Amino acid sequence: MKKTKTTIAIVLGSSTLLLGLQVLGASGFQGAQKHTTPSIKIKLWDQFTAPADAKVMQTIINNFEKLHPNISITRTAMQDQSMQEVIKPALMSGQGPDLFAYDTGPGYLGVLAKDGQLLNITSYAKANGWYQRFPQWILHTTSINGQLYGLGNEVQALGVYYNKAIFSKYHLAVPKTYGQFLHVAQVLKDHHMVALEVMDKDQWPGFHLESAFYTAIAGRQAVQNVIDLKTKAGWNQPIFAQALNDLRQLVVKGYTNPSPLAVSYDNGNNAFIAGKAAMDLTGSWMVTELYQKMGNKVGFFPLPPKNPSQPDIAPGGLGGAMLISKHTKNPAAVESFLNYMLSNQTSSIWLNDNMIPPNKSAAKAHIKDANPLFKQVVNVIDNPAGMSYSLDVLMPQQVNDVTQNDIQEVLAGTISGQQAVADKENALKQAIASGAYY
Amino acid sequence: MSISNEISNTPTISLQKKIKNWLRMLMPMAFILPALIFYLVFTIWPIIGTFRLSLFTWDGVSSVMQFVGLKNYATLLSDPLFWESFGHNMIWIVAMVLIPVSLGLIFAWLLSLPGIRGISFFRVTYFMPVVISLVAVGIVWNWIYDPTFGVLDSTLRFFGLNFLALPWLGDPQTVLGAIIVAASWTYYGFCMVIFLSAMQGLDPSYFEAAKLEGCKTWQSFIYITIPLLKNIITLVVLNSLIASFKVFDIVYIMTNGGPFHSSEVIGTYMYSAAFSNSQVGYGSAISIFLALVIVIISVVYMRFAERE
Repeated sequence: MKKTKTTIAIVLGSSTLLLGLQVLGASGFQGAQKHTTPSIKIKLWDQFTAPADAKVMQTIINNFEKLHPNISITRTAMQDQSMQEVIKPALMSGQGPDLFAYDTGPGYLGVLAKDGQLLNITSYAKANGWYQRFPQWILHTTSINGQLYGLGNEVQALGVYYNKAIFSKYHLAVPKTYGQFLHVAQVLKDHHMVALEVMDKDQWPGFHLESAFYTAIAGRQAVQNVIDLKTKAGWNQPIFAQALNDLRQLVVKGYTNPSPLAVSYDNGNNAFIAGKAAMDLTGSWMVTELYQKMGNKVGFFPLPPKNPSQPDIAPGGLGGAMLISKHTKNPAAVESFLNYMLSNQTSSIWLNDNMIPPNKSAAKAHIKDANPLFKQVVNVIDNPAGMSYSLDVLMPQQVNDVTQNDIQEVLAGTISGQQAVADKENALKQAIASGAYY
Repeated sequence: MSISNEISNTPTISLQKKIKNWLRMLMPMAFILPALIFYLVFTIWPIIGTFRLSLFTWDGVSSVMQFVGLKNYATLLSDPLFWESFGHNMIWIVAMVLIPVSLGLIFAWLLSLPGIRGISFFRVTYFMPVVISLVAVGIVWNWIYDPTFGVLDSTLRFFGLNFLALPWLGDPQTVLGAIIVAASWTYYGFCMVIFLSAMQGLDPSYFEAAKLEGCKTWQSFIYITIPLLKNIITLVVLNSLIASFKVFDIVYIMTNGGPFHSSEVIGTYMYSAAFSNSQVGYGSAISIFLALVIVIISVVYMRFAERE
C-alpha cells in the first residue's frame, strides 16, 4: 500500500513539474519571440508536385522573399484530388492555407466563394492593373457575379500529340478536319498501327476525350451555351450525343487500342512514347515529358472540327487558379505575393518549365528559345480564334462523377451517346438544384 | 489498551480501511483510464459525430448544415448504386473467406507435415505479401494485368492462349475477380501463419492414434486438424468478414470502383460521396449503415459459431 501511495505521489509530482516546466517554457518562448523581428508567415498549398514544377515555384518564392525579407512563405504541394479532399475542412478549421491552388468554375471556386471562404480580390486586381495584364477570359473564369475570387495560374490546352516519324512513314499530313483525322486513322489501321491511344482506366482522362469531342463535333459556342445555362436542353442535345457516338466509333472501327478501359493514363502515354500508337489525346502538361523522351519526333494539333466552318481550336483553359482564404491574417502580403507570382517578371521562369502563365502574350514574348513542341502548343493556345472549354474543371463533382462513368460506358458500348448526355444533364440539374452550380 | 482507547481508534481504522478499499477500486480504473479516454475520443466520439452528420445535408464547407433527419438513410435504401456496391462486398466476402482462408489452411497443413525442408523459407515467402503496403500491391497488380505489357496476358499469348488474354481491369465481367485475386494474394499468408501456429499447439497424440488406426495424412487433416482448429477458423473467418466489408484501398488504387462502378464497393462509394461529391451527410449515412451491418453480421456469425 505504501508503495502504491509513493508511486501515485511520484506520478502526480512529476506531472505537476512537467506541466510547470511547459508553462514556463511556453511563456519563455513567447517572451523570446517579442524580441525577434516581426515576420509575416504565409502558408501556400500548391499543386506543383513534379520536381521541375516545384523548383520553379520555389525559385519564385525565394525571389519574393528576397524582395520582402519580412515575409516568409511555407509551401506544401499536393495533387489536385488531395487538395479537393482536404481544403474544405482546412478552411473551416481556420488552420488552412492563406493561398492555395484549386480548380476554377462554379463547382469548385464558385462553391467556396458562395460559402464565404474566399477573399474578394477585385479591388486589389483593379489597383494593380490585373485587368490590363491578363486576358478578359482568364479573369472571367475566376469571377462570380463580377467579383474576382482568384487568379488562373496556368493556361492549358487539350489536343492530339502525334508521332511525326510514323506520320512521315505513311505519308500522312496533320489533319485539318475531322474527316481527314478519320482518314489518317484508317491508313494507320491498314498498316496495323494503333492510330489513337485511348486510356481511360483512371476515368479522368475520359473528361479530356469528352471536351475534345464536344469541341470538334459540337463546337465551342454550343458548349459555352450550356456552361452559361443559356439552353433549356443543356447537355441533352443530339449534337453532344453525336460527339460521343463518334468517339465510340473510333473504338468500333479499330482505330484505338483494343481495351481503352484497361489502360491507365501512364501506361497509355508510355505506349505512345514507345511508338506503339501514332496519336495520343491529352493535355499540354505532357509537353516536357514527351519532348524529353521523344525529341523532335512528336508534334501537337487540336482535334480538328467536323464542320470545316468551325474554327480549329482546342479545348482548354486554366489548369487551376490561386485563391486566397478569407481567414488569412495577412491579406495584403498574400495579395502581394500572388501579384508577384504571376507578374510579367516571372513569366520567363514559368515558360522555361514549359508552363504557360496567363499573362497577355507572355508566351509569345518568351518562347524564342523554347523547344518546337512547346512552340506548337503555344501557337494553339494563342490562336486568335481563342479556345474552347475543358469541362471537368467547370462542372461540379456530381456531374463529373456521372460523366466519368458514362464516358467509360460509351467507350465500352454499353450505353449510347444519347443516354450519356441525358444522364449528364440530369446530374447538372440536380447540381443546380442543390446549389452546387449556378 | 484500555476500552476507551479502543473506542476512540475504531473510526480511524474504519476510515483507513475505506480509503484502502477506494484505492483498491480506483487503481485498475486509473490503469484503464488512458486507454478508455483514447477509445472514447478517437472511436466513440467520431462514431457519434458521424451519426450526427448523417442527419444533415452538408457540403463539407458551408456554415449552414440543413437538418434532414433520416432522409439520407431513406436515399441510401433506394440508391441502386449503393446496393450494387453492397452486392460487390458480398461477393468479396464469399471469395475472401473461401480463397485466402482455404489457401492459408492448406499451406499451413503442408508446412506442418513432417519431413518438409526449408519451412522458414516457405513461411517467409508466403507471408511476405502481407507486409507489403496495399498501395504497392495495387500498383504492381495493375502492371501484371495491363493488356499491353502485363506479365499475365504476355504469358498467355506466349503459350498461344490469346483467347484468355483479357483486359482484366477494363472489363466489367472480370474486374472484380481480378482485384479479389490480388487481395487474396496479400491475405492468405496471414491466414497461413495463424493456422500454422495453431497447428503447432495441437496434441500430437491424436495424430499418432489416428496413424495407428491406419488413417491417411489427408484424412487426419480433414477429420482431426480442421475440427480441432474450429475456434481459430472462426476467428480468421470473422476477421476476413469484417475486412471484406471495410475493403477500400486496393480497390481505390486498382480501379477506383470502375469501369463504370463494376468494382465499386461500399468503402469507395462512401468515399466518393463524402469526399469527392461533397455529400458529407450521405457519406456519413453510408458509413453508419456499414458499421451496423458489420456489427449485426459479426454477432450473428459469432453466435452461430459458438452454437456449433
